[in-house]
Amino acid sequence: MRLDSIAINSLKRRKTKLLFMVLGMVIAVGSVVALHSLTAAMNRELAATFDEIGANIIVKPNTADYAVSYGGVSIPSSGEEALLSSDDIIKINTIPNRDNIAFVAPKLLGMVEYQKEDVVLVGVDFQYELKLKKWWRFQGENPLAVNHLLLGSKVASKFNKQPGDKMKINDREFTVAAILEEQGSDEDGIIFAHILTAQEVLNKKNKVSFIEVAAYCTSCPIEQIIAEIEKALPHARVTALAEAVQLRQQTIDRLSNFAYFFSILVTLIGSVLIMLTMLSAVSERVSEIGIYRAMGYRRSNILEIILTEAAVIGLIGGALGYVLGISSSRLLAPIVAEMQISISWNPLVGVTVILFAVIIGILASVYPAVKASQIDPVEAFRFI
Amino acid sequence: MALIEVKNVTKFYNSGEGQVTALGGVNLTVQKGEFLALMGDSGSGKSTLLSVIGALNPPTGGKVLIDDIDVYDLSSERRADFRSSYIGFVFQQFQLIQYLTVVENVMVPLAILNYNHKEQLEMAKKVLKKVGLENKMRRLPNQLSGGEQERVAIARAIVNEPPIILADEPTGSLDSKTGEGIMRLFQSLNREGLTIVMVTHNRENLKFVKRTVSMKDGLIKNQEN
Repeated sequence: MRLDSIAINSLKRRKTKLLFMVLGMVIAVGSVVALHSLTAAMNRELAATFDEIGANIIVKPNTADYAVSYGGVSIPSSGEEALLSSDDIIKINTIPNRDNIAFVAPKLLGMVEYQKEDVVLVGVDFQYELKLKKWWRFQGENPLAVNHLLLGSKVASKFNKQPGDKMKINDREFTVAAILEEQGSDEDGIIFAHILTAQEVLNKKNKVSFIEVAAYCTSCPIEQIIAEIEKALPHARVTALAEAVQLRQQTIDRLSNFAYFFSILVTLIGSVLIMLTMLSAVSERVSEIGIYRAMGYRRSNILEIILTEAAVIGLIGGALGYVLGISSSRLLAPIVAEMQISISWNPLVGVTVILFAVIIGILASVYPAVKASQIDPVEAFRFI
Repeated sequence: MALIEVKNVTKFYNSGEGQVTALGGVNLTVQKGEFLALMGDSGSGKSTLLSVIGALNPPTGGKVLIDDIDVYDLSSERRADFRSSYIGFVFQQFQLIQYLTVVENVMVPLAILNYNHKEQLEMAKKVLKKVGLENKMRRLPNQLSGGEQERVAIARAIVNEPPIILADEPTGSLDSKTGEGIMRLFQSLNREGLTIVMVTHNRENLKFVKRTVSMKDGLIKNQEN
């Protein structure tokens, strides 16, 4: 028999006490786990929701004197405009925080003449543009080929075009791949073409009017990403769609702060509860500890017995608390968060939680254990 | 050869009504292999003297030498080691650990020594056989009679083979027939060479001991062989 066997037997055969202490630990660990799982999942969901809003950073050249605008950027009425180049896309994709950039969507704006009417042509990278504009609905096929066009609803009705029709712009033949449903915005009067083709048609090879960047992550500061793009492109003006970014950041911050405050509070209450229960257990065991001391047990032996008991309580409480926390947050998520969120089992988090519970259990029991170790061995003769 | 020497030991307690003298200057020598009974009325100081001899209760004055070791000159932790190797206690009311089985209770003194589980088990079985409880090893203390619990307490006291057994009213909670059986067990352990000091107020027990020391008001009144 070893000292840990004494500790384990003491817990095993005093089930009510064990149940009470484990229950306290389970509730504390369970609430912390549930709250953190919920807030973490809500953060992920929020990030995804905000991503759907679209780009949150716009990179523009320093220009003035605009006549036509699209997406907050305008085309100069006359003369030479300042433009970005295709190389700038590569530069954005190589900033230190590149992993937090979802995608980069360049655009080239220009005016073209069709059937003697001036129309705005916007060259885009359809692959990213369609991801950015998740709300776009259109009739026809995905406009992915270089000679494909996507027509705004007004343009289509004005020139009476249907998907599959041909259009000749600046001596180049295009196929109307799709017609965009009415958006109620500038987009209704725009012809969208593949950016490489638009560069040729507008005679602006390798040029880009502005770049939309969708950057996100639950923890990284958007300001840092902006600063890095500014550093990479000193000739450009980088602006964040401040409102969306700030709203997201504030919401996440509030949730995280609440989760941390609550966790500290619950951990403190849990620790005090364990300490008081342990103290009461020690005072009930004065005679028993006196017997151990009378039989030659050192103070360190008594400390070891009590702290082993605390560690076992932490181990059981931590494991059950993790299970309870994850299960309850999965159950409660649709009610509390009012959203469909996914909370999964994570062995690494589970082990960390158990370790944390063991440490809390031990720390909360240090004082009761020291008190126990100081019990006079003559207590074995209590009836003297 | 003197195994225990109590030299002018005093013990005073502070109570609400002032200082109480538990031991008023006790001198006692116990030879190796003796079976000594400490007699006296309640409050005579016999149990206090037993706890002082047992290295549990530092006296206010005087010295206690066991095997020529001044036990109260040792630090608290060294004194714990000393108790582990020199003294086996049999407490009043048996004082078994209620959440441990019979065999686990007997193994308690061994858990802090360098024996592996198999050796501990063998030592415990050996002494449980000696006290006649080898077939009740897996029971919990509350599943045993008073006499059986006393036997477990004795087995626990002798399992690590200490030279001295200190017993406090070992038959106090038992009927006379069971008490006699326990006294015979003590007698046979004494015959095997163990030195036993026993506190009792039961005169029936005196026929089993080699010497009786009577105490009154914290002092030794007389000694009989």
